[in-house]
Amino acid sequence: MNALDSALYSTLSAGTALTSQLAGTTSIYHGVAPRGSTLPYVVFNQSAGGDANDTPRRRKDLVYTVQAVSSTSYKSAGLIDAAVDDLLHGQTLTVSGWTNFWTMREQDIEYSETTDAGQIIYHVGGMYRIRLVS
Amino acid sequence: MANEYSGKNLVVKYGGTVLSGDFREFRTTETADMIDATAGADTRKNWLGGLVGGEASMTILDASDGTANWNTLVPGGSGTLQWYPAGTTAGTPSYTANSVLVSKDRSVPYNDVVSIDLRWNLTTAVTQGTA
Repeated sequence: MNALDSALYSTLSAGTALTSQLAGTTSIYHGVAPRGSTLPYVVFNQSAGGDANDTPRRRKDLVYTVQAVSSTSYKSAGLIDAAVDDLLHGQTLTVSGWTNFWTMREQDIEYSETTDAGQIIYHVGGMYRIRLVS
Repeated sequence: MANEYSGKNLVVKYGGTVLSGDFREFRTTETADMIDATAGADTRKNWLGGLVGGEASMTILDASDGTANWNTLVPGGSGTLQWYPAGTTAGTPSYTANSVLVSKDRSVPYNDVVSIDLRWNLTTAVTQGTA
């Protein structure tokens, strides 16, 4: 959902406590980070949800995954995740054309992967339920 | 094939105010008192129809940007209740009855939208017409 994607990017990139921990102030990516992006960064994407269809007025009930990606440690990724959480959990997003009445974290994510070069990449994040009404 | 329809086009007015903008469900019930007329050598229960009455109930969502619906709805107050189950396109059925608002019940859950449950007693027969 473009309007919400834009709102999330704006909210996250405006958080200096978050961006100061990233490789750059724009190290926030929708869907997938470009190949070769400098770590650490944040990636977010819609994981589930859609229209609620429970009243004539249009309402969206969506789940977004937002995760920190770091090559340093789980702790480093966790600190970035905590800064993301401060910006999203219980907050009200400004979404063009919609009113955001619910943004809450529901699930935690934590896993690691090893690249072909042997580097360990740490992922820590959360899944946020975001509800909008038109 | 019969013309089945969903409730998505429902329109409900109470005292001329449209309440169906954010509705979730609307329900009407018409019932009659039953008089037990079983007697003598009857081998089965026998019933007579008594007084007829009706009820209506509705769930709507509350809005944080206004209190118009909440303030308009006064328990004990009366008004005309009109409902159009298939919407207000010309020719679709409409129903009208006088009513008394019995209750308004607002639920404020932590993790869901705030809703209002309404309940009326119908004080006249339901008149059927078309929109």
